[in-house]
Amino acid sequence: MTRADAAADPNWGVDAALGAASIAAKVAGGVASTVITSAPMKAFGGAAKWIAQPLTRQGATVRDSIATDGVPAAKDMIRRATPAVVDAIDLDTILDAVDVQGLIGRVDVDGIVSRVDVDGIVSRVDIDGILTRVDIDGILSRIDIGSLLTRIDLNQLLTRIDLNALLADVDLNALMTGIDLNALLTDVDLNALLGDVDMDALLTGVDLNELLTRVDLNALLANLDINAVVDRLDVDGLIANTEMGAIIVRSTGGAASEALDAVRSQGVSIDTVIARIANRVLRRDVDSLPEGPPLLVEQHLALPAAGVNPTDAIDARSAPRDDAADGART
Amino acid sequence: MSVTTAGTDPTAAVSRQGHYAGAATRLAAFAVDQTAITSVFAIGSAVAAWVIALITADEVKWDPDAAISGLVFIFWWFTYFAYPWSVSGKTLGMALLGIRVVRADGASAGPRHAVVRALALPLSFLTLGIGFLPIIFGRHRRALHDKIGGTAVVYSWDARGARWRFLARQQENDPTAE
Repeated sequence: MTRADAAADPNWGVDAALGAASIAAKVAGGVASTVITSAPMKAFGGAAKWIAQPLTRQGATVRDSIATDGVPAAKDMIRRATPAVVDAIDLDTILDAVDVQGLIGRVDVDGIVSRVDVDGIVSRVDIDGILTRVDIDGILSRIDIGSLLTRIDLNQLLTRIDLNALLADVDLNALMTGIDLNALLTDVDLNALLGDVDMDALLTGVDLNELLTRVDLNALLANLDINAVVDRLDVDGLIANTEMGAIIVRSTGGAASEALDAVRSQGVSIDTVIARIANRVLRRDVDSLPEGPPLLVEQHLALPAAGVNPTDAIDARSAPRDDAADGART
Repeated sequence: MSVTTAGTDPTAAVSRQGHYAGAATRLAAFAVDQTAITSVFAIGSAVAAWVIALITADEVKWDPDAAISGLVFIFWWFTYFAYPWSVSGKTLGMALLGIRVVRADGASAGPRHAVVRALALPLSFLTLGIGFLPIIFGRHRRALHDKIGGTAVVYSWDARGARWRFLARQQENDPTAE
């Protein structure tokens, strides 16, 4: 401050008084320090302490009473006064006056976080205990799955999933060994499942030629019981409805074969009649009679005697032998 | 032997392959065999006499009552039955009628069974035919010579072929018929 400025300031008097007081205080302090450390003052202090002993004891008693009774009384007074004080404080006004954003901006969040031992905190958390206290069913029951799923774009979600990478980490063998396929299949309604399958569309995409080239027909036929297959053929219908009949007629002996068939069939017919008469004469139980030698009968080489009905004259291997034999024995 | 027409089913009484053969079929087969034996023996005798006459310029006449003729005939008769039975189980007549000789348990008959059966066959005649009666009244339809030889006679005719031929003939004559 220049002299011109000091002349123009209206508070110059106050400032001058304060300056003088400051200088006087410093001087007094220096004098007091010198006086206090002097020998007469020390002797005077000891005498004053001896003389003030009754006052000292009275003062200590008062201080003890304040510590004993005054502190609880003060706490009680503070407890009673605090609600009124809090009510009197307008927090909104205070908070409006605080620049919260500026305050946050001055906080070093990264520094704080870096000083936090997250692993230690997590390791101290009893996750199982927390989960056992959670009512999962209650939570799920409050969730509207339908509306939740309608809000999810599954296509978008799936496009973000790398299924190859996901499946690469899956041990399918271990997964399959843990699956009880029998139990799984017993619960599957295959008819309903196949009913929904568009077989035409499915077969359209199948290259049967390629498929057949991969089939080991020799192994397949090795396991095939050709005799059983032939036995199931409706040869009668096949001959009656196809050109096989004409082929058979041309390839067989014709009249000679038919004559032989006639002679043999007549012989069998006469045998049947004779056996029937003999059984009636002897009153023999027809069912108890052996049909033929055990080895031939057990091997099912015998053909049935189907009576006079041509439609019954079929292979014994596909017809109940007992029923057929009754016609011959009775 | 009449030729069967397409209108009658030759398998109306179908054979029972592996079942015991009946008396009528066996008798018919034996008749065929006897005819064949006699015919072949007569023709063979005639041919032999002609060859001898050709070589020696002497006329040879066979006396049926002569011992040598009888022995040759018996040998021929025995051979005619024993050899086919040991090889295939059937003679010419049995093959025509669709029957064959097997062991009592159903296995194929061997030479021993065939020889014993052929040797025992005359016994059924020597008992005035009583040896054949079990074919009609016996439970296993085994004659005396069957029991001695340990054999049985069964149908070996598979009637399926006959039936198919019958159906084929019908289909050829009437393609619209089912």
